[in-house]
Amino acid sequence: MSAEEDREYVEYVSAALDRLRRVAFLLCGDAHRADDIVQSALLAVYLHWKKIRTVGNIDGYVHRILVRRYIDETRKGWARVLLAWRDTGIAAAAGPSVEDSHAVQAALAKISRGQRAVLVLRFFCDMSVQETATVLGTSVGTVKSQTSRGLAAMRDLLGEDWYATESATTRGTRKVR
Amino acid sequence: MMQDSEARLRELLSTVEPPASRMTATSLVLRGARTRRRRRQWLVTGAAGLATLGLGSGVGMAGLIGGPTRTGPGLAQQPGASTTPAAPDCIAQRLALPPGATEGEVNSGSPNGRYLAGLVVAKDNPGKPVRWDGTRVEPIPVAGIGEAQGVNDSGVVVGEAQTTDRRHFAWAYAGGKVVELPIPDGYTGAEATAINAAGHVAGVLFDGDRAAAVVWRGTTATARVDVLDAPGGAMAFGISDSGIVVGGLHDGSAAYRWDAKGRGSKLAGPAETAGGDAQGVRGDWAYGLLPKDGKPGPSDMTTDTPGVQSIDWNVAVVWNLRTGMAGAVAGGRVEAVSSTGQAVVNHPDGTASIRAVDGTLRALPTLTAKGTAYAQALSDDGTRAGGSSAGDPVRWSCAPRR
Repeated sequence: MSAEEDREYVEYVSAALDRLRRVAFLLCGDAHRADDIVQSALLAVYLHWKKIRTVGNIDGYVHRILVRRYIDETRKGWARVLLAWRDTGIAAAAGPSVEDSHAVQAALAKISRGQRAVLVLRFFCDMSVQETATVLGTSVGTVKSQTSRGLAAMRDLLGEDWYATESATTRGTRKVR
Repeated sequence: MMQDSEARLRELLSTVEPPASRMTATSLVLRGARTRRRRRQWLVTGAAGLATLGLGSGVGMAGLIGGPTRTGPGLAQQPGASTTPAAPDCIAQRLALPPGATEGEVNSGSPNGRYLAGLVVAKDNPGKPVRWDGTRVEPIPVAGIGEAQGVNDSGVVVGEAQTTDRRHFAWAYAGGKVVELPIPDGYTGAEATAINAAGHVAGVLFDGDRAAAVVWRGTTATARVDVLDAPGGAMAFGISDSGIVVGGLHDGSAAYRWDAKGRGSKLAGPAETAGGDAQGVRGDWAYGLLPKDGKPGPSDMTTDTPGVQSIDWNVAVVWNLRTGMAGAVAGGRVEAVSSTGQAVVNHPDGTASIRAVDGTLRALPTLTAKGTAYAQALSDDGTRAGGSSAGDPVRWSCAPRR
């Protein structure tokens, strides 16, 4: 790869890394595993950068690779996947959103893997129903039903956290349970 | 209503932040360039590359960049922890990869230190199980994608794999042959997680979201299968030579153990922990990871990276099954124990150590100056460990403790 291509890759990754780590973390719930997934995906991107840099929607392309890597992670076995969710190191941005963040992670850990993947792709990665179906290798109907069930489950699991609408500043004064 | 829900979920998902990472764009470029170089090396040198990487009489003995041996707090039951530092005395050796593989990882090791087991990654396969005898690598011909999870002193390896039609199965590898372990009626998938000296295999059976801890009494296709009772289902991750099995309840509410007759009971954790799993056992010692009880507060925040705060809400725990004592291990995750109670600890800064019962730490060096180390296997005498360093499988050799 030329120095110019290296520079372009660094530029792209520098801008995208934080978001890709968040996607992987939301999908798998474990920081170490999320980094493994992102690293593996971005390594593949590097090795094919000469071609990938010319595609129209690089973000969409890289997201697809990332999700495939996440799905490939099932080679670790269901036990490890389940365990990874329970082992999640709770982490959050500084400030008052710690409590919400913890509750969101805990709720994500309780819904099915399929629902979790659909919700993250649709509402964090902003993919359409069709795009989500393509990436997950499933039908549009399945994505729609998983979305509906996943939203209902998250609402039930989050209880009052779901309905809380305070701004970040007012949340800071909430009493910690 | 649906649109409101979607908007609210977007808002909530945006609150989740992963902990800080050392991964950078530059480090990814370096890694990518190295992978490309290695691919070219394989293409050019073919079998000769194997000799360079693996069989080499010290050619693979890289790095030796261990920091000074550190000390850490002892188990709760060991208040008199030693804090005397010792000189670095472990060396790292890069293990061979099979042709075509680009990286690998050790998951487990035999108690005598001879065998290591894990997986390698190739361009056309994200996971193939392998066994190392010394530094010599042997691919395990399992169908599909999988990895080795346990190996005993006889070199019998167990693990799991997934076929292209998404079927999960447990397997054993002995005498050059792979045997699929039987799945009893009522379950659709399985994985093997550990094997003891007698060839008894611990693992997990699955049926959708349901899970059960299991022991296969042998490594044949007709081995007796004992499903272990536990409230709400469970998973088994370790089995000792005396037949004690450890794991955790399926709902994550408690670490669990079963005696040799299959009688189960909860493993109590140290104060201020709740739930979790025991992840392995050797002799009278088991280890695991337990969440702290309650919810995180401001005092739990760490600021290792400027501008980024994170919380580690888990506690590494070592149990002495004979005394029933549980001790929290500060400063990292435990991934293996020896029959004498030594443990490998992986620290948040990417370094790894062997930890004595008294809390003394011996640093395990990385293969390269800026690399990280992650250890997952430890021999009974504490002189051999296995793991990975920056994507390469590694064996560590240490001088006997004085």
